Amino acid sequence: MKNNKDNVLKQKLASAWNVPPMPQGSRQRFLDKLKHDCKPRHKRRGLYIGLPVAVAAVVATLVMLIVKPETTEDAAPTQMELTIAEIKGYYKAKMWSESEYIIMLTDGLDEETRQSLLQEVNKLEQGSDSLAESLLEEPISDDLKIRYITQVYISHLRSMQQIHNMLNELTAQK
Amino acid sequence: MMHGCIERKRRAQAAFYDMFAPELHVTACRMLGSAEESEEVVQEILLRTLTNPVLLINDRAGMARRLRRMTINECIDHLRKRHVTWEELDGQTDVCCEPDMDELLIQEEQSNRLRQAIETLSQQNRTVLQLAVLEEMDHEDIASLLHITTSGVRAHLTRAKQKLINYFRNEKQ
Repeated sequence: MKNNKDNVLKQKLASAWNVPPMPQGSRQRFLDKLKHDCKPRHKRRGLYIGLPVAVAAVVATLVMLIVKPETTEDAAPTQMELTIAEIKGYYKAKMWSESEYIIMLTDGLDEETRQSLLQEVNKLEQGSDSLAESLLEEPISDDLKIRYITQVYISHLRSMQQIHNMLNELTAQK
Repeated sequence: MMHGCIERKRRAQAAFYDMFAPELHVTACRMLGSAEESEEVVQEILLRTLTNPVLLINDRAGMARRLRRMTINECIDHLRKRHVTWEELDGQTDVCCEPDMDELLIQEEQSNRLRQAIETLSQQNRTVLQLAVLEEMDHEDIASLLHITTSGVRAHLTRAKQKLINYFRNEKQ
């Protein structure tokens, strides 16, 4: 009975609360915008992140060339450090991609949930680095360090993928 | 159509716009009160969705719900930029409740008078009325969206309905 009354009230308000039509040429303007903006947002955003990073890398290289390190041999990374840098780079790229998707999917959520999810994602992203750093200090073999650090990155990435999947399901249900 | 949108086919994207834009325009225009601003919001939402394939759902109803929710959020952001805020109302002392306000509103037959009455509502009351009645959102959802409590939402809604009824009464006198 209550639902029926709600529906009647909804119809009544909807018919009274009419709105002006969409401005003329709206569709064409949209299609034009789409034509110029067809690159995915996360890739466009990549430009904003990528460009400063690239500039910073060039500046850092120039500084290193100008100010030559006193002990070049000591500063050379070991094979283990190189391997860990590769692992870190590989998983961080995947994590960034996951966090981009999660940010996009949280658009429709209420602010509180959104903030707590983003904090969680941030913790996962930063937590993996600090855990990896602390594992490097542990008195264990290089092989074990590499194995444990890889596991840390994999488990954090999986957690982010789970959040991504949950958000996908949630938005599909809405 | 969704498959075409993922592959960025122009015809599919145009069909996507034709399918969802009119409904979103109505929602946005009611919230913002301006067709131009509504166009801006709707185009931003559709553009954001079509350029992010991860946001596309192969289910028309689900897609419509997601787009409507994104539009409502964007409109609330626009209203906040206009410094519209929703303060808590004390339902017990401030709002006079009538036993069956919905019934009284349903009995009003002239839709143009109802429209005039809606225009007299404050932006805050009008938004809550729209979200609760037309968009069928839960009071909890509205509360979290507007950063107020559910009793605050109920108070805004009651006040909106009461103002509409008072408008009709004053007209008759």
